[in-house]
Amino acid sequence: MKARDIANWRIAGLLIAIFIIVGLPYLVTLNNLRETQQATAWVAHSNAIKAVTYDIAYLVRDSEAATYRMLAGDGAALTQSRVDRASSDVSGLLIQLRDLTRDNPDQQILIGSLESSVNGRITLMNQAAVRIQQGNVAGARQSLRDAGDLFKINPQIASIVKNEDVLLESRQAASSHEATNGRLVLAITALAQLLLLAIIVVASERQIGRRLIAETRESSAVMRSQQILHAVREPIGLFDDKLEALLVNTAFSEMYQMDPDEHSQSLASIGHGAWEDSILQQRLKDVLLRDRELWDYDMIQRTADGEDRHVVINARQLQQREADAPSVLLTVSDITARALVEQKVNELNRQLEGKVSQISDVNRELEAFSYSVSHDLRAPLRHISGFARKLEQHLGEHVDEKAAHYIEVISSSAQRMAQLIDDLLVFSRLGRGALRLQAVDMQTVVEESKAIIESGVHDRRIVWDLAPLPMVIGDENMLRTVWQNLLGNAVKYTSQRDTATIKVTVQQGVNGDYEFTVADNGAGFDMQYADKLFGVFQRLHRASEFVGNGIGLANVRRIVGRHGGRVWADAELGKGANFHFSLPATDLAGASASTNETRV
Amino acid sequence: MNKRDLRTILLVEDSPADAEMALDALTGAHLANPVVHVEDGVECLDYLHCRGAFEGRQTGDPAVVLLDIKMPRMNGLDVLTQMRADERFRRIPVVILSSSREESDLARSWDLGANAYVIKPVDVDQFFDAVRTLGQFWAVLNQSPEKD
Repeated sequence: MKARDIANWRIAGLLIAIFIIVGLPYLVTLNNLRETQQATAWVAHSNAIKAVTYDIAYLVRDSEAATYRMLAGDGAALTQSRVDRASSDVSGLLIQLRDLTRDNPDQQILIGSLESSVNGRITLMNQAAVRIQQGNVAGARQSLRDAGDLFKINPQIASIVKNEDVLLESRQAASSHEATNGRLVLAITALAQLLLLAIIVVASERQIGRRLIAETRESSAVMRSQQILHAVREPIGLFDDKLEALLVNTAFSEMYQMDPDEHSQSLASIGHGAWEDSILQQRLKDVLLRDRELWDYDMIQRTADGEDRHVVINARQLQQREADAPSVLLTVSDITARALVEQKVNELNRQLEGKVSQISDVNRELEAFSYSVSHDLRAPLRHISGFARKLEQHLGEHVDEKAAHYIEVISSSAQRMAQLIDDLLVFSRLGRGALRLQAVDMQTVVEESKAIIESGVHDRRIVWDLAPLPMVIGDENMLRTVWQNLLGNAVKYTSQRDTATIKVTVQQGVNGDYEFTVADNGAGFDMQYADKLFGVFQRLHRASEFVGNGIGLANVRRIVGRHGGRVWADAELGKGANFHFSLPATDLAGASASTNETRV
Repeated sequence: MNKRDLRTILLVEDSPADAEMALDALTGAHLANPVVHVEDGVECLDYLHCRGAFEGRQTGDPAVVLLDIKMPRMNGLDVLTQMRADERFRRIPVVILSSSREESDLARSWDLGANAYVIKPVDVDQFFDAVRTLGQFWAVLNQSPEKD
């Protein structure tokens, strides 16, 4: 139900209550008054009837008494007039009596009877008077006696009076009953008044209480929103349709150094020209007049402190009531710091991009270089060894021992250089190629590597001790190269032992890293030179002792490094060496699902 | 001798030294097939199309093309691309004979439809062995479908 309907119903209820409280007692009182007047009127009426009745009786008797006086010889004029009064006045009184009791048929009958008796008596009285004048005293006396005997009026008079008394009594009883009813109604309405007043008092009390609570709630909500508004660190301002300040928060007045006591400052005058931007003013007018929202308007404002601030302005129209002029809510985000950071980030990104492009340039050059090496550097070596052979064939029998030796050195040097080139290309490729990451079973890789190495050595006694190895994430081919190099080295540097012992172990660190170790009982090395161990073409042994060109451990370090691990060694000259490499803990399930392409 | 034996071995090689060594090796293989040496990709296609310097040559496709990759004017991979795109030369066996071990060269050659990829060994004995074996295999043992 709508609020207006409720208000209408309430007004109707109040009107009804007012009617009951004021109108009803009035009506009851009025009715009582009328009843009382009526009762008084009835008493007067009854008294009048009785008076007239008594008058009639009196006149008749007085005339009779005067007649007796005349009979006794009183011939005074006064007596004569008393005798005549009955016959002249009684009929008028009877008419009067009849009029008074017109509404009462019983009384009319009695009055009729009274009238005839009275008339009879008056007639006999007149007869007596006539007889007195004739001197017939006995006849006159007889007439008067007859009048008293034949036409008795006392019973009628008594009946009329009694009737009237009874009527009056019944009317008074009715009137008093009415009065009692009236009092009852008055009492009830008084009670109803009290009840209604109590209800109204309670209801209005409750209403007032409710309103008080609502007002308290509202005022605390208003206070809260005020506090929030002022606590917000972003400047917020509300401006009217003339762009004059209605309300600004603390951040706003601080940022633009507004005088808090001055009211309705126009936006253009705030902040020493920070808001004078004509485009912005136009856009704000659009917000006001056309209800167009202003989204993220980017601008530089020179604020009162003389600093250029990079701000983003948002504005929207607010209209509290339909009749009100619209106002505009402005929020200002100071993104100076963010913009600076962004600028810095962009700069760093540009630098990074520059570096990346440098690196990819270098990579491209390396690629081109190794392509060229691959194609062009090997061909002359092939020619050197090929034509040395042809020279040998050409000389035929003329080749002496020295010439043969020279040709052999030329040939084998070319061969060796070709090997070095190949090794370098492999090393270079290990650094450039993408890592094809997948789940790798180290156990299998080690077994395979061991088998390949064993197939290449003969007449050796090697005791292998391979611990169970885990699954890791890595490039399987590269990891195979690692194991082939480490196991190959172990086999190679134990060649002077009667029984070589090669032990492969693994242990997991607290952070989940795996640390693999290959231990042998071979020649070992002097720890003094340990830092040279993993350099390209660095060797700690002479080629005549152990063949090799010093690329293997460089490859190992490069591969392990690209997997995020590290490689190191400890040894004692003549007692064997331990080579360790670590691989970082990887989420096996997650990493095996995708093949990561990482390229430097 | 049937027709097939007369098919040529086409050696496409820009380096005179390499060509000389390869020809030596093929000679050492004692093959009946004639060996034709051209010095780059353009000449190779001229030979196949019987045009330019090879206009009016004895007809017939080579038994095998031994193709170097890095050559002036037109390189081996371009030649291979054109051959495989041409209905007439699609089935001619092509063996890439290159110095390069580069994975990219290998992958591209196979993708373009090379029949073999052989890296020229630096060791002279290995080189001679390789070329001889290639000649014997492709010219004698290998059977290609008759044309048409």
